[in-house]
Amino acid sequence: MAEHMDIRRGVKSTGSAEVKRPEEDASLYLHPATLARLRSFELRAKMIVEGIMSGQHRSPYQGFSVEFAQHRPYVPGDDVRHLDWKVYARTDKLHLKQYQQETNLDLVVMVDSSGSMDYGSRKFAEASGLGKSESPRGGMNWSKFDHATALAAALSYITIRQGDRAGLVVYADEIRALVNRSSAMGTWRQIVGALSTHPVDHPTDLGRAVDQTIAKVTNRCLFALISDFFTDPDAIRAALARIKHRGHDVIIFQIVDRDEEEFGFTSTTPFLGLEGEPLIRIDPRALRQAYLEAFQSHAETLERTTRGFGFDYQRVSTHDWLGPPLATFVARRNAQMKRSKFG
Amino acid sequence: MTLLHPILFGAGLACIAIPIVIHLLMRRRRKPVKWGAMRFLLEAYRKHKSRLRLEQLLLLATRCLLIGLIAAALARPILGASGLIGAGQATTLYILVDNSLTAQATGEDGESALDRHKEAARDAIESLTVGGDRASVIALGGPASPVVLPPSSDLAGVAQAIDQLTPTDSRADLSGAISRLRSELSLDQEEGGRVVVLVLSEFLAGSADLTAALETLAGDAVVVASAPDEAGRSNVSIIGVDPVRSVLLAGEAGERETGQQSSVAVRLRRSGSIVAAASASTIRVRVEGTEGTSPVSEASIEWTPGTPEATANVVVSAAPGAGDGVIIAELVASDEDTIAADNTWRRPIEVRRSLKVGLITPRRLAGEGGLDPTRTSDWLRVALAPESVDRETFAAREAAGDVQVVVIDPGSLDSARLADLDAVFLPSPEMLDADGWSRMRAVADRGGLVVIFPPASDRVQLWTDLVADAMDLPWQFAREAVELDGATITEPARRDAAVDLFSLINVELEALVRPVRVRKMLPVAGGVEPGEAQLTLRESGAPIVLARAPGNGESSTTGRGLVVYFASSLSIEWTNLAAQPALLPIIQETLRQGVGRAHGSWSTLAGGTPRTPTEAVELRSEERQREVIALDRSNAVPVRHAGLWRAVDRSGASAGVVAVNADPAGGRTDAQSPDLVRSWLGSMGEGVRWLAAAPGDGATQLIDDPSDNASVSVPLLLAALGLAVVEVFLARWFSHALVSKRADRVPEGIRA
Repeated sequence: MAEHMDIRRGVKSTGSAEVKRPEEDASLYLHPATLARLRSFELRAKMIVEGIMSGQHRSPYQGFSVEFAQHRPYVPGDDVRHLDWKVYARTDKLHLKQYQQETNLDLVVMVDSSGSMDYGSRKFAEASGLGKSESPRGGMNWSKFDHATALAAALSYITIRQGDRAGLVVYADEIRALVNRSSAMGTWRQIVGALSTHPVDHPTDLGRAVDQTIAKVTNRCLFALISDFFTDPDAIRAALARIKHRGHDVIIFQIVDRDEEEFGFTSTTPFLGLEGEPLIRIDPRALRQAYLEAFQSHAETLERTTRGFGFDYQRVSTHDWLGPPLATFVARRNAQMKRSKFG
Repeated sequence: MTLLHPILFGAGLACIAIPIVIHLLMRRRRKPVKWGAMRFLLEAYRKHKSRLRLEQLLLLATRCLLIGLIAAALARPILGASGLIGAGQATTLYILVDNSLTAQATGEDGESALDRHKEAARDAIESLTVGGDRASVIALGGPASPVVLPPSSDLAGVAQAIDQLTPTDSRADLSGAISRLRSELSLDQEEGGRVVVLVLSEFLAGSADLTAALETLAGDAVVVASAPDEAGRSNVSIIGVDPVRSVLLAGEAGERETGQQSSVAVRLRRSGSIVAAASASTIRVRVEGTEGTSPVSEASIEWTPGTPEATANVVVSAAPGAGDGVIIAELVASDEDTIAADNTWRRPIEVRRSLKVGLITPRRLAGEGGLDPTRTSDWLRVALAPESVDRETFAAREAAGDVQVVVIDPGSLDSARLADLDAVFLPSPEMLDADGWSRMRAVADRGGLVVIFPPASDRVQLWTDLVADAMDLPWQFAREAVELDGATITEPARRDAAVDLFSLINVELEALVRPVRVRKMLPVAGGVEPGEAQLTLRESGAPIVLARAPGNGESSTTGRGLVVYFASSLSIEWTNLAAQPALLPIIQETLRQGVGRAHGSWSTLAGGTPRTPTEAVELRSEERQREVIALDRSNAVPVRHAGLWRAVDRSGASAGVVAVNADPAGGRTDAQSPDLVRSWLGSMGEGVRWLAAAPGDGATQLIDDPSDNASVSVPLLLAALGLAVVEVFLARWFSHALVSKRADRVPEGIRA
């Protein structure tokens, strides 16, 4: 599949799906009720951080910014522009001045676009709230990817409205689309636009996508991983470990459909995997218990793993509203801000 | 085990494929759900794959077994019986085919019952397994005859034998067939296997005599019978032809062109539904003689509703020529007549130019003239051939009459003199010794008439012992004459005997004998059977004229020869009969009817053994030239087909004509109650199952038998019901519907 860069929007995208106007797409994915709640979260977030950082957050990274941090001995190859000539004058030794960097909180939203995200049992018209019965990708159901789109839009909206930067990575077996981090409001529309038309049909390779993403990020970021995480727990653990190693923070949003949580099928039905799994014809009632045990075990493993790294985990059902995950996000961001100030 | 509805069973077995087909069709119809969380579903599926497959197989097997049980129940299996169709142990099929006269009855389609029986028999044979099963055929046309017996495994040959079965004119002999079959089964026990007895008959009145007991078949033989014809058939048949005289006198050639006329009573019978309706029948009667055929006489019978039998009296003339003749009565037209074979009746009759009578009496001495009223012989000669005696001088004279009298002296009796006599009159029995009486017996055995008068003597008469011994008579003659006080004569009130010497004159007889007085008689004290007395004394009822066939053990109605005893001499001292007008008709009727009765007729009913002249060695069919029956005096040879047969002696010369007529009993086409038939057939074994031929495909199948308590349909249905409950439980259990409750909503997942 050819990879191309949308210069006008700064969106690198793959696939041939028709790109719609971001405004329209954003309205599809952000239900008026959701948008209304967003504002309150924003206010609440502002109330929480106001008076502490004024919208700015200290970075744990030390660079060459305004506020002096310390001196260190010069080594050949250092930029001579940062030499502290006053210290050289007094001690005849070359030292470099180091300053504490001031930066905004960068949010990188990683949305899974693998085939399994295409499942959804909820009607699109009911979920979108705008009376449209068909998604921009042509589906009649509100898929997990649609829910992930809405969540990503909400997260980036909060972030951008606070003046922070937000970016998007759409991945499956690799990065499929990318929106560079920015605090401009147009970026938010780019994020929604990129998600609304993105094809959802590839297998998952979280480790590879994470490696590709962190290679592009040099500063400390908050990663919001939005996926159903129907993949090998070891692969998830390895990916999180790498993110942790690079000092990033992570919030895991596991998107699941109610059918997947309950498995309430009652008649013998053939099931076909969305990521190339073979077709099986089963009596769902006979396998429900075993399925639910496997499903729950996986979810618990995912949560345990996530929390083991000190990250947050939130399961999100496509039939539920976005309040709980957004609250989790705000709480997490606040915690990160505290770490930034005192760490 | 027998399946009453094997076709249903086959269809039911085919229905077992229904759940499988439905399952396959459902697989095709249902669109797959594209599922995201396939990882966990596959994990659960792999973990429980074996158990699920086992559950599905168990459920499928339960459902198939359920349908199979229902199919088996609908097929009405019967335990303990062997089916005509089915595999397993070898089957021996005994087919009893009714080819009797009744089986010739045709239906509206023109097909006879025998044709249907043949078709059913062929179907039954086709249901057998070539190489393992055997079949046997017994024809029921009486007497029953084995066609293929012992059973043969050459089923094609058996089927061919069935095709070649021809109808007989006799009644069905199921009891004889069962008796023969019983013997065969006792011999065939070593063969083992299943034994099925298939009785193919319509069980009409003529083909099933429900009063005849059937022997019980040994072993586990299954009796299957074709369903009785509950509607019956309509049939009109001639059941007898009774000429008033058995001997017709044609006179001298050229003297009378048409010969003596005689009245013939033709008896007809209707049976079946036609009895309740009015109908019409036309008969034609003729006499066929050696030199031609008499003119045909025709009569019509108008049947009134409810009349089963009628008699038409037809006057026929003797055929030209002397010798054996036959009265042939034919039913030429009748409404609703389904059997043609019983529309003709053949009655042999003797056509004679004259009767030759031997008068055994001492010759009159020369010079004796005139009639001696004390001599019985003189009166007899006058009464027998009035025209041959000069009434004045009582001298014999040449006269052409119907009766020729030959006077034979008792001392000169020999076989040659007696050989051509039709009758002998014995007015002087005391003059015969034992040898003489044995010759008289020979005359009687040859079919002659022996008329005995007691001598007008008051002495003890010992000759009666010789008569009783020689003629083998049960009569107990008195030895001394009894004096009467002018007793009068009358005819017995009830005359139901076949020997009725005075039937032709019984209207005038009372007036004729009224002046007759009997003063003396030599009575028969005992041993007289009803019907043997032809005339009796009005006062005492003692028989004055008796008649019976010689031979103590034989019935007087069927035996050859006839002995007539006049208890009173014709002497004027004993009775004034000789002086009365009654003498001539009494003596003449005694002669003519007696000769006819003594000669008898060589006739019999189909299925019986015909009485034939003693010198005959074989019978040759007059109508079917090639058919010859060799007569074996030691073994009775039955004749099953009606027709005229020529009895031939060793030299090839004709010894007489034997008529075989269709058995009137076989022509009865009245329907009989199926329950009675079932009960009757049931005496053969444990119940009877009906067989019917399905029209069109020719397949045979056992008919449902509501009273059959050996059917296992109900237990099978109960088992199917129980299995259905088990299936419901298993289906819910295997779907875990009993284990966990879950939402009944219809998934709204993405459908491909």
